[in-house]
Amino acid sequence: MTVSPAPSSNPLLALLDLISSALVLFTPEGRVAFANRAAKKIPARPILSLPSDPQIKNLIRDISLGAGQRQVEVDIDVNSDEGMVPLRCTFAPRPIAGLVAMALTERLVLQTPAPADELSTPAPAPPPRMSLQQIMDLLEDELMGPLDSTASALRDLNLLDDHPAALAVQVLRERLDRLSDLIGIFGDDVLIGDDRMVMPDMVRDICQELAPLARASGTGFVLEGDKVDLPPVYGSQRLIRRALMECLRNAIEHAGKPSTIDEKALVRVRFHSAGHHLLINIRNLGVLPGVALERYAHGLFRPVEEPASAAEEPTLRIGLPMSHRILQLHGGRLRYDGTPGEIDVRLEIPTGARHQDTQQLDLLQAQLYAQDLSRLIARSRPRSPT
Amino acid sequence: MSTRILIVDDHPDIRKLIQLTLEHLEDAELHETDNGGDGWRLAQSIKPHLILLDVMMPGELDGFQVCQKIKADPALSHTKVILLTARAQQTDRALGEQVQCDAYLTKAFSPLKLLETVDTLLGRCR
Repeated sequence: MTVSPAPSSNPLLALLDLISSALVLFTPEGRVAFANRAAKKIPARPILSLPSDPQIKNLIRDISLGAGQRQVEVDIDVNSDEGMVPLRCTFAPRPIAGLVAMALTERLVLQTPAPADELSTPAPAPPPRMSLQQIMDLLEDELMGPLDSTASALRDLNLLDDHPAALAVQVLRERLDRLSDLIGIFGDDVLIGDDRMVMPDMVRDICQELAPLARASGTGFVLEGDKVDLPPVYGSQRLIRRALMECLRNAIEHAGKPSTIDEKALVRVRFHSAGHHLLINIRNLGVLPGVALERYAHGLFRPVEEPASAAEEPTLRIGLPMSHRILQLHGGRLRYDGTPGEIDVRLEIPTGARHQDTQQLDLLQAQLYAQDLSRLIARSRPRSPT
Repeated sequence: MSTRILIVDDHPDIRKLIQLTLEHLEDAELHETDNGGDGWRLAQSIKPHLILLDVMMPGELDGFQVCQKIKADPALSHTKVILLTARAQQTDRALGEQVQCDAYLTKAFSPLKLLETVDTLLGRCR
Protein backbone atom coordinates (compact mmCIF):
# COMPACT_ATOMS: atom_id res chain seq x y z
CA MET A 1 0.00 0.00 0.00
CA THR A 2 1.23 3.48 -0.75
CA VAL A 3 0.06 6.77 0.54
CA SER A 4 0.56 9.37 -2.10
CA PRO A 5 1.54 12.89 -1.13
CA ALA A 6 -0.85 15.66 -2.04
CA PRO A 7 0.22 16.88 -5.46
CA SER A 8 -0.04 20.62 -5.40
CA SER A 9 -1.22 20.59 -9.01
CA ASN A 10 -4.47 18.93 -8.00
CA PRO A 11 -6.59 21.65 -6.39
CA LEU A 12 -8.93 19.19 -4.67
CA LEU A 13 -6.11 17.33 -2.95
CA ALA A 14 -4.39 20.59 -2.09
CA LEU A 15 -7.63 21.72 -0.53
CA LEU A 16 -8.09 18.49 1.43
CA ASP A 17 -4.56 18.90 2.76
CA LEU A 18 -5.51 22.29 4.15
CA ILE A 19 -8.50 20.98 6.07
CA SER A 20 -7.82 20.56 9.78
CA SER A 21 -9.91 17.38 10.04
CA ALA A 22 -8.29 14.04 9.22
CA LEU A 23 -9.59 12.81 5.85
CA VAL A 24 -8.76 9.62 3.95
CA LEU A 25 -9.81 8.61 0.43
CA PHE A 26 -10.04 4.92 -0.50
CA THR A 27 -10.15 3.28 -3.90
CA PRO A 28 -13.14 0.94 -4.46
CA GLU A 29 -10.71 -1.96 -3.82
CA GLY A 30 -10.04 -0.62 -0.33
CA ARG A 31 -6.57 0.84 -0.84
CA VAL A 32 -5.72 4.25 0.58
CA ALA A 33 -5.56 6.62 -2.39
CA PHE A 34 -4.93 9.73 -0.37
CA ALA A 35 -4.59 10.77 3.26
CA ASN A 36 -4.45 14.43 4.12
CA ARG A 37 -1.87 15.99 6.40
CA ALA A 38 -4.11 15.79 9.50
CA ALA A 39 -4.72 12.06 8.92
CA LYS A 40 -1.01 11.37 8.61
CA LYS A 41 -0.40 13.10 11.92
CA ILE A 42 -2.55 10.68 13.96
CA PRO A 43 0.00 8.83 16.13
CA ALA A 44 -1.29 5.27 15.70
CA ARG A 45 -0.91 5.53 11.91
CA PRO A 46 -4.40 4.18 11.28
CA ILE A 47 -4.06 4.68 7.54
CA LEU A 48 -1.69 1.70 7.53
CA SER A 49 -3.95 -0.67 9.41
CA LEU A 50 -7.44 0.45 8.36
CA PRO A 51 -7.43 -1.14 4.86
CA SER A 52 -7.03 -4.61 6.40
CA ASP A 53 -10.00 -4.20 8.75
CA PRO A 54 -12.82 -6.40 7.34
CA GLN A 55 -15.55 -4.05 8.55
CA ILE A 56 -13.92 -1.08 6.84
CA LYS A 57 -13.30 -3.13 3.68
CA ASN A 58 -16.96 -4.14 3.45
CA LEU A 59 -18.14 -0.60 4.00
CA ILE A 60 -15.87 0.76 1.28
CA ARG A 61 -17.14 -1.88 -1.12
CA ASP A 62 -20.80 -1.11 -0.29
CA ILE A 63 -20.32 2.64 -0.70
CA SER A 64 -18.44 2.15 -3.98
CA LEU A 65 -21.31 0.03 -5.28
CA GLY A 66 -23.75 2.78 -4.36
CA ALA A 67 -25.30 0.83 -1.51
CA GLY A 68 -24.60 3.57 1.05
CA GLN A 69 -27.70 5.57 1.89
CA ARG A 70 -26.42 7.86 4.58
CA GLN A 71 -23.32 8.73 6.55
CA VAL A 72 -21.93 5.74 8.49
CA GLU A 73 -19.85 5.83 11.65
CA VAL A 74 -17.60 2.97 12.74
CA ASP A 75 -15.66 2.84 16.00
CA ILE A 76 -12.35 0.99 15.92
CA ASP A 77 -9.30 0.63 18.16
CA VAL A 78 -5.82 0.87 16.66
CA ASN A 79 -2.64 -0.38 18.31
CA SER A 80 0.12 2.10 18.91
CA ASP A 81 3.27 2.28 21.02
CA GLU A 82 1.27 4.01 23.74
CA GLY A 83 -1.46 1.35 23.69
CA MET A 84 -4.86 1.19 22.01
CA VAL A 85 -6.08 4.38 20.33
CA PRO A 86 -9.87 4.56 20.04
CA LEU A 87 -10.93 6.09 16.71
CA ARG A 88 -14.17 6.94 14.99
CA CYS A 89 -14.40 6.59 11.20
CA THR A 90 -17.15 8.60 9.50
CA PHE A 91 -17.86 7.63 5.91
CA ALA A 92 -19.51 9.88 3.31
CA PRO A 93 -22.54 8.08 1.88
CA ARG A 94 -21.47 8.41 -1.75
CA PRO A 95 -18.11 8.17 -3.52
CA ILE A 96 -16.31 11.41 -4.43
CA ALA A 97 -14.81 11.23 -7.91
CA GLY A 98 -14.86 7.42 -7.62
CA LEU A 99 -13.18 7.42 -4.22
CA VAL A 100 -14.70 6.67 -0.84
CA ALA A 101 -14.16 9.49 1.67
CA MET A 102 -13.72 8.97 5.37
CA ALA A 103 -13.16 11.39 8.25
CA LEU A 104 -11.14 10.15 11.18
CA THR A 105 -11.44 11.41 14.74
CA GLU A 106 -10.04 10.23 18.04
CA ARG A 107 -12.81 8.92 20.26
CA LEU A 108 -13.05 9.85 23.89
CA VAL A 109 -13.43 6.80 26.12
CA LEU A 110 -14.10 7.01 29.82
CA GLN A 111 -12.25 4.23 31.56
CA THR A 112 -12.85 2.96 35.06
CA PRO A 113 -9.95 0.91 36.42
CA ALA A 114 -11.09 -2.54 37.43
CA PRO A 115 -10.07 -3.99 40.81
CA ALA A 116 -7.11 -6.39 40.56
CA ASP A 117 -9.10 -9.50 41.49
CA GLU A 118 -11.60 -8.86 38.72
CA LEU A 119 -9.06 -8.59 35.96
CA SER A 120 -9.10 -12.28 35.13
CA THR A 121 -12.86 -12.62 34.76
CA PRO A 122 -14.95 -10.63 32.30
CA ALA A 123 -17.03 -8.06 34.12
CA PRO A 124 -20.78 -8.21 33.65
CA ALA A 125 -22.20 -5.50 31.42
CA PRO A 126 -22.94 -2.42 33.51
CA PRO A 127 -26.58 -1.38 33.78
CA PRO A 128 -27.46 1.54 31.50
CA ARG A 129 -26.76 4.76 33.35
CA MET A 130 -29.11 7.69 32.89
CA SER A 131 -27.80 11.20 32.79
CA LEU A 132 -29.29 13.83 35.09
CA GLN A 133 -30.87 15.43 32.07
CA GLN A 134 -32.57 12.17 31.10
CA ILE A 135 -33.89 11.79 34.62
CA MET A 136 -35.17 15.35 34.51
CA ASP A 137 -36.86 14.77 31.17
CA LEU A 138 -38.60 11.74 32.63
CA LEU A 139 -39.66 13.75 35.65
CA GLU A 140 -41.06 16.45 33.40
CA ASP A 141 -42.99 13.86 31.40
CA GLU A 142 -44.36 12.48 34.64
CA LEU A 143 -45.40 15.79 36.13
CA MET A 144 -46.48 17.89 33.17
CA GLY A 145 -49.55 15.72 32.52
CA PRO A 146 -50.98 16.04 36.04
CA LEU A 147 -50.14 19.76 36.09
CA ASP A 148 -51.96 20.34 32.81
CA SER A 149 -54.94 18.34 34.12
CA THR A 150 -55.02 20.43 37.27
CA ALA A 151 -54.85 23.67 35.27
CA SER A 152 -57.63 22.42 33.02
CA ALA A 153 -59.78 21.42 36.02
CA LEU A 154 -59.29 24.88 37.50
CA ARG A 155 -60.37 26.47 34.22
CA ASP A 156 -63.50 24.30 34.28
CA LEU A 157 -64.28 25.76 37.68
CA ASN A 158 -64.17 29.19 36.01
CA LEU A 159 -61.44 30.40 38.28
CA LEU A 160 -59.65 33.54 37.13
CA ASP A 161 -56.00 33.35 36.13
CA ASP A 162 -55.00 35.26 39.26
CA HIS A 163 -56.88 32.92 41.58
CA PRO A 164 -54.41 31.52 44.15
CA ALA A 165 -54.98 27.95 42.92
CA ALA A 166 -54.31 28.92 39.29
CA LEU A 167 -51.25 30.90 40.33
CA ALA A 168 -49.99 27.95 42.37
CA VAL A 169 -50.17 25.69 39.31
CA GLN A 170 -48.42 28.32 37.25
CA VAL A 171 -45.66 28.63 39.85
CA LEU A 172 -45.26 24.86 39.97
CA ARG A 173 -44.90 24.74 36.21
CA GLU A 174 -42.32 27.53 36.25
CA ARG A 175 -40.36 25.83 39.01
CA LEU A 176 -40.29 22.57 37.07
CA ASP A 177 -39.12 24.41 34.00
CA ARG A 178 -36.45 26.11 36.04
CA LEU A 179 -35.32 22.87 37.61
CA SER A 180 -35.00 21.41 34.14
CA ASP A 181 -32.75 24.30 33.11
CA LEU A 182 -30.77 23.95 36.31
CA ILE A 183 -30.12 20.26 35.68
CA GLY A 184 -29.37 21.11 32.07
CA ILE A 185 -26.63 23.60 32.84
CA PHE A 186 -24.92 21.64 35.58
CA GLY A 187 -25.47 18.31 33.85
CA ASP A 188 -22.97 16.24 31.93
CA ASP A 189 -24.11 16.95 28.40
CA VAL A 190 -24.77 20.65 28.01
CA LEU A 191 -25.70 21.73 24.51
CA ILE A 192 -25.38 25.40 23.78
CA GLY A 193 -26.51 25.72 20.17
CA ASP A 194 -26.18 28.75 17.93
CA ASP A 195 -29.40 30.73 18.20
CA ARG A 196 -28.96 34.34 17.16
CA MET A 197 -30.13 36.73 19.85
CA VAL A 198 -30.58 40.47 19.84
CA MET A 199 -30.40 41.24 23.53
CA PRO A 200 -32.51 44.40 23.82
CA ASP A 201 -35.40 42.64 22.09
CA MET A 202 -35.06 39.69 24.42
CA VAL A 203 -34.90 41.88 27.54
CA ARG A 204 -37.97 43.81 26.38
CA ASP A 205 -39.87 40.52 25.99
CA ILE A 206 -38.84 39.37 29.44
CA CYS A 207 -39.85 42.69 30.98
CA GLN A 208 -43.27 42.27 29.41
CA GLU A 209 -43.52 38.76 30.77
CA LEU A 210 -42.57 40.01 34.21
CA ALA A 211 -44.93 42.98 34.00
CA PRO A 212 -47.61 41.46 36.28
CA LEU A 213 -45.02 40.73 38.96
CA ALA A 214 -43.51 44.21 38.50
CA ARG A 215 -46.93 45.90 38.70
CA ALA A 216 -47.79 43.99 41.85
CA SER A 217 -44.66 45.29 43.56
CA GLY A 218 -44.86 48.81 42.11
CA THR A 219 -41.72 48.38 40.03
CA GLY A 220 -40.94 49.75 36.59
CA PHE A 221 -38.17 49.11 34.08
CA VAL A 222 -35.94 51.60 32.31
CA LEU A 223 -34.08 50.27 29.27
CA GLU A 224 -31.09 52.27 28.06
CA GLY A 225 -28.60 51.80 25.25
CA ASP A 226 -28.27 52.05 21.52
CA LYS A 227 -29.94 49.07 19.91
CA VAL A 228 -28.68 49.70 16.37
CA ASP A 229 -24.97 49.05 16.87
CA LEU A 230 -25.21 46.33 19.47
CA PRO A 231 -23.75 43.06 18.26
CA PRO A 232 -25.88 39.92 18.45
CA VAL A 233 -25.11 37.03 20.75
CA TYR A 234 -25.03 33.39 19.64
CA GLY A 235 -25.84 30.48 21.93
CA SER A 236 -28.80 28.94 23.65
CA GLN A 237 -31.77 31.27 23.51
CA ARG A 238 -33.51 29.29 26.21
CA LEU A 239 -30.59 29.49 28.64
CA ILE A 240 -29.69 33.13 28.04
CA ARG A 241 -33.33 34.00 28.46
CA ARG A 242 -33.31 32.04 31.70
CA ALA A 243 -30.25 33.95 32.97
CA LEU A 244 -31.80 37.33 32.19
CA MET A 245 -35.13 36.27 33.62
CA GLU A 246 -33.48 35.26 36.91
CA CYS A 247 -31.57 38.53 37.18
CA LEU A 248 -34.57 40.70 36.35
CA ARG A 249 -36.88 38.76 38.65
CA ASN A 250 -34.31 39.13 41.39
CA ALA A 251 -34.20 42.87 40.72
CA ILE A 252 -37.98 43.17 41.01
CA GLU A 253 -38.17 41.11 44.16
CA HIS A 254 -35.56 43.33 45.81
CA ALA A 255 -36.73 46.62 44.40
CA GLY A 256 -38.29 47.79 47.62
CA LYS A 257 -41.90 48.68 48.29
CA PRO A 258 -43.19 52.11 47.37
CA SER A 259 -45.01 53.63 50.31
CA THR A 260 -47.16 56.02 48.27
CA ILE A 261 -48.92 55.72 44.96
CA ASP A 262 -46.65 58.41 43.45
CA GLU A 263 -43.51 56.43 44.16
CA LYS A 264 -42.10 53.74 41.97
CA ALA A 265 -39.25 51.31 42.41
CA LEU A 266 -37.13 51.38 39.27
CA VAL A 267 -34.87 48.78 37.71
CA ARG A 268 -32.53 50.10 35.04
CA VAL A 269 -31.16 47.86 32.31
CA ARG A 270 -28.34 49.35 30.27
CA PHE A 271 -26.68 47.78 27.24
CA HIS A 272 -23.39 48.56 25.64
CA SER A 273 -20.66 46.72 23.80
CA ALA A 274 -17.00 46.67 24.80
CA GLY A 275 -14.49 44.85 22.64
CA HIS A 276 -15.92 41.47 21.81
CA HIS A 277 -18.40 41.51 24.67
CA LEU A 278 -21.89 42.78 25.20
CA LEU A 279 -22.41 44.21 28.67
CA ILE A 280 -25.82 44.25 30.25
CA ASN A 281 -25.98 46.18 33.46
CA ILE A 282 -28.98 45.67 35.72
CA ARG A 283 -29.24 48.07 38.59
CA ASN A 284 -31.92 48.73 41.13
CA LEU A 285 -32.48 52.43 41.44
CA GLY A 286 -34.70 51.92 44.48
CA VAL A 287 -37.94 53.66 45.32
CA LEU A 288 -38.00 56.98 43.56
CA PRO A 289 -40.36 59.89 43.84
CA GLY A 290 -40.15 61.39 40.39
CA VAL A 291 -37.04 62.94 38.84
CA ALA A 292 -34.42 62.81 41.60
CA LEU A 293 -33.54 59.27 40.73
CA GLU A 294 -29.89 58.88 41.67
CA ARG A 295 -30.22 60.62 45.03
CA TYR A 296 -32.47 57.84 46.21
CA ALA A 297 -30.67 55.05 44.52
CA HIS A 298 -29.70 52.14 46.68
CA GLY A 299 -28.48 48.74 45.69
CA LEU A 300 -30.85 45.91 46.15
CA PHE A 301 -28.94 43.07 44.60
CA ARG A 302 -27.37 40.78 47.09
CA PRO A 303 -24.00 39.26 46.20
CA VAL A 304 -24.39 35.53 45.79
CA GLU A 305 -21.78 34.71 48.42
CA GLU A 306 -23.85 36.37 51.13
CA PRO A 307 -25.95 33.81 53.04
CA ALA A 308 -29.64 34.15 52.39
CA SER A 309 -31.89 35.01 55.26
CA ALA A 310 -34.68 32.64 56.25
CA ALA A 311 -37.32 35.12 55.14
CA GLU A 312 -36.05 35.25 51.56
CA GLU A 313 -37.52 33.40 48.65
CA PRO A 314 -35.63 30.15 48.13
CA THR A 315 -35.44 30.90 44.41
CA LEU A 316 -32.78 33.54 45.00
CA ARG A 317 -30.31 30.94 46.13
CA ILE A 318 -30.52 29.29 42.74
CA GLY A 319 -31.11 32.21 40.41
CA LEU A 320 -27.86 34.12 40.35
CA PRO A 321 -25.48 31.13 40.48
CA MET A 322 -27.59 29.64 37.70
CA SER A 323 -27.23 32.81 35.65
CA HIS A 324 -23.52 32.80 36.37
CA ARG A 325 -23.18 29.23 35.13
CA ILE A 326 -25.19 29.96 31.98
CA LEU A 327 -22.94 32.88 31.15
CA GLN A 328 -19.87 30.75 31.82
CA LEU A 329 -21.18 28.16 29.39
CA HIS A 330 -21.40 30.92 26.80
CA GLY A 331 -17.87 32.14 27.53
CA GLY A 332 -19.07 35.10 29.59
CA ARG A 333 -19.49 35.91 33.26
CA LEU A 334 -21.68 37.56 35.83
CA ARG A 335 -20.18 40.27 37.99
CA TYR A 336 -21.36 42.04 41.09
CA ASP A 337 -20.11 45.52 41.66
CA GLY A 338 -21.19 47.44 44.64
CA THR A 339 -20.66 49.90 47.33
CA PRO A 340 -22.81 49.88 50.46
CA GLY A 341 -26.29 50.74 49.35
CA GLU A 342 -25.53 50.54 45.64
CA ILE A 343 -24.93 47.18 44.12
CA ASP A 344 -25.51 46.17 40.56
CA VAL A 345 -25.18 43.10 38.42
CA ARG A 346 -23.29 43.04 35.16
CA LEU A 347 -23.69 40.32 32.58
CA GLU A 348 -20.83 39.98 30.12
CA ILE A 349 -21.55 37.88 27.05
CA PRO A 350 -19.15 37.33 24.15
CA THR A 351 -20.57 38.66 20.92
CA GLY A 352 -20.62 36.89 17.61
CA ALA A 353 -20.50 33.16 17.07
CA ARG A 354 -18.02 30.79 18.58
CA HIS A 355 -15.80 28.86 16.20
CA GLN A 356 -17.77 25.78 15.16
CA ASP A 357 -16.56 22.24 14.59
CA THR A 358 -17.18 21.85 10.87
CA GLN A 359 -15.84 18.38 10.25
CA GLN A 360 -19.05 17.04 8.71
CA LEU A 361 -19.52 20.19 6.69
CA ASP A 362 -15.91 19.97 5.46
CA LEU A 363 -16.55 16.49 4.17
CA LEU A 364 -19.73 17.46 2.38
CA GLN A 365 -18.06 20.58 1.00
CA ALA A 366 -15.14 18.56 -0.35
CA GLN A 367 -17.66 16.22 -1.98
CA LEU A 368 -19.46 19.10 -3.69
CA TYR A 369 -16.16 20.59 -4.82
CA ALA A 370 -15.12 17.28 -6.31
CA GLN A 371 -18.42 17.00 -8.17
CA ASP A 372 -17.95 20.44 -9.73
CA LEU A 373 -14.22 20.20 -10.28
CA SER A 374 -14.15 19.03 -13.89
CA ARG A 375 -16.64 21.69 -14.95
CA LEU A 376 -14.69 24.34 -13.08
CA ILE A 377 -11.50 23.34 -14.86
CA ALA A 378 -13.29 23.25 -18.21
CA ARG A 379 -14.63 26.70 -17.50
CA SER A 380 -11.26 28.24 -16.93
CA ARG A 381 -9.51 26.42 -19.81
CA PRO A 382 -8.78 28.83 -22.66
CA ARG A 383 -11.00 28.15 -25.64
CA SER A 384 -9.25 27.06 -28.82
CA PRO A 385 -9.69 29.42 -31.78
CA THR A 386 -12.31 28.28 -34.23
CA MET B 1 -10.50 47.04 -14.80
CA SER B 2 -10.41 44.17 -12.35
CA THR B 3 -13.36 43.08 -10.25
CA ARG B 4 -12.72 43.53 -6.53
CA ILE B 5 -14.15 40.71 -4.44
CA LEU B 6 -13.99 40.57 -0.66
CA ILE B 7 -14.30 37.24 1.17
CA VAL B 8 -15.28 37.44 4.85
CA ASP B 9 -15.33 34.10 6.66
CA ASP B 10 -13.76 32.92 9.90
CA HIS B 11 -12.95 29.46 8.50
CA PRO B 12 -9.66 29.49 6.55
CA ASP B 13 -10.66 26.32 4.68
CA ILE B 14 -13.78 27.97 3.34
CA ARG B 15 -11.89 31.12 2.38
CA LYS B 16 -9.38 28.95 0.51
CA LEU B 17 -12.16 27.05 -1.24
CA ILE B 18 -13.86 30.27 -2.30
CA GLN B 19 -10.53 31.55 -3.58
CA LEU B 20 -9.95 28.35 -5.56
CA THR B 21 -13.43 28.72 -7.01
CA LEU B 22 -13.16 32.39 -7.87
CA GLU B 23 -9.79 31.88 -9.52
CA HIS B 24 -11.89 30.64 -12.42
CA LEU B 25 -13.21 34.19 -12.86
CA GLU B 26 -11.34 36.48 -15.19
CA ASP B 27 -9.80 39.66 -13.75
CA ALA B 28 -10.82 39.00 -10.19
CA GLU B 29 -8.91 40.79 -7.45
CA LEU B 30 -9.51 38.87 -4.24
CA HIS B 31 -9.31 40.25 -0.71
CA GLU B 32 -10.10 38.35 2.46
CA THR B 33 -10.56 38.67 6.18
CA ASP B 34 -11.81 36.49 9.02
CA ASN B 35 -14.27 38.67 10.93
CA GLY B 36 -17.17 41.03 10.43
CA GLY B 37 -15.58 44.14 11.94
CA ASP B 38 -12.53 43.97 9.68
CA GLY B 39 -14.80 43.00 6.78
CA TRP B 40 -16.79 46.18 7.22
CA ARG B 41 -13.66 48.36 7.48
CA LEU B 42 -12.08 46.67 4.46
CA ALA B 43 -15.28 47.13 2.46
CA GLN B 44 -15.19 50.85 3.20
CA SER B 45 -11.61 51.16 2.04
CA ILE B 46 -11.49 48.94 -1.06
CA LYS B 47 -15.12 49.43 -2.13
CA PRO B 48 -15.52 45.94 -3.55
CA HIS B 49 -17.87 45.06 -6.37
CA LEU B 50 -18.90 41.94 -4.49
CA ILE B 51 -18.69 40.62 -0.95
CA LEU B 52 -19.00 36.98 0.04
CA LEU B 53 -20.04 37.13 3.64
CA ASP B 54 -20.33 34.45 6.27
CA VAL B 55 -23.01 35.08 8.92
CA MET B 56 -21.77 33.51 12.13
CA MET B 57 -18.38 34.94 12.97
CA PRO B 58 -16.71 35.80 16.26
CA GLY B 59 -16.38 39.46 17.10
CA GLU B 60 -18.14 42.75 17.00
CA LEU B 61 -20.31 42.31 13.89
CA ASP B 62 -21.93 39.30 12.33
CA GLY B 63 -22.68 38.88 8.62
CA PHE B 64 -26.23 40.23 8.87
CA GLN B 65 -24.97 43.41 10.48
CA VAL B 66 -22.16 43.90 7.98
CA CYS B 67 -24.66 43.46 5.14
CA GLN B 68 -27.00 45.96 6.77
CA LYS B 69 -24.21 48.52 7.11
CA ILE B 70 -23.08 48.04 3.50
CA LYS B 71 -26.58 48.47 2.16
CA ALA B 72 -27.05 51.61 4.24
CA ASP B 73 -23.82 53.20 2.99
CA PRO B 74 -24.30 55.28 -0.18
CA ALA B 75 -20.59 54.92 -0.98
CA LEU B 76 -21.13 51.17 -1.31
CA SER B 77 -24.37 51.31 -3.27
CA HIS B 78 -22.79 49.35 -6.14
CA THR B 79 -21.55 46.54 -3.86
CA LYS B 80 -23.38 43.24 -4.16
CA VAL B 81 -23.54 40.98 -1.12
CA ILE B 82 -23.80 37.20 -1.09
CA LEU B 83 -24.47 35.73 2.34
CA LEU B 84 -22.79 32.34 2.48
CA THR B 85 -23.78 30.55 5.64
CA ALA B 86 -24.53 27.26 7.33
CA ARG B 87 -27.74 28.79 8.70
CA ALA B 88 -30.43 27.32 6.50
CA GLN B 89 -33.57 28.06 8.51
CA GLN B 90 -36.37 30.05 6.89
CA THR B 91 -36.05 32.66 9.65
CA ASP B 92 -32.40 33.17 8.73
CA ARG B 93 -33.24 33.59 5.05
CA ALA B 94 -35.91 36.08 6.05
CA LEU B 95 -33.35 38.00 8.06
CA GLY B 96 -31.06 37.94 5.01
CA GLU B 97 -33.86 39.51 2.95
CA GLN B 98 -34.46 42.02 5.70
CA VAL B 99 -30.85 43.21 5.52
CA GLN B 100 -31.18 43.30 1.70
CA CYS B 101 -28.57 40.74 0.73
CA ASP B 102 -28.42 40.13 -3.02
CA ALA B 103 -28.14 36.35 -2.70
CA TYR B 104 -28.31 33.82 0.12
CA LEU B 105 -26.36 30.59 -0.32
CA THR B 106 -26.12 27.85 2.28
CA LYS B 107 -23.07 25.79 3.15
CA ALA B 108 -22.06 23.27 1.96
CA PHE B 109 -22.34 25.07 -1.36
CA SER B 110 -21.76 24.05 -4.94
CA PRO B 111 -18.79 26.02 -6.33
CA LEU B 112 -20.49 26.09 -9.73
CA LYS B 113 -23.64 27.52 -8.22
CA LEU B 114 -21.50 30.12 -6.47
CA LEU B 115 -19.80 31.07 -9.73
CA GLU B 116 -23.16 31.34 -11.49
CA THR B 117 -24.48 33.57 -8.73
CA VAL B 118 -21.36 35.75 -8.88
CA ASP B 119 -21.69 36.02 -12.68
CA THR B 120 -25.33 37.00 -12.41
CA LEU B 121 -24.74 39.62 -9.75
CA LEU B 122 -21.80 41.13 -11.58
CA GLY B 123 -23.82 41.25 -14.79
CA ARG B 124 -21.62 38.81 -16.65
CA CYS B 125 -23.12 36.34 -19.11
CA ARG B 126 -21.40 33.13 -20.01
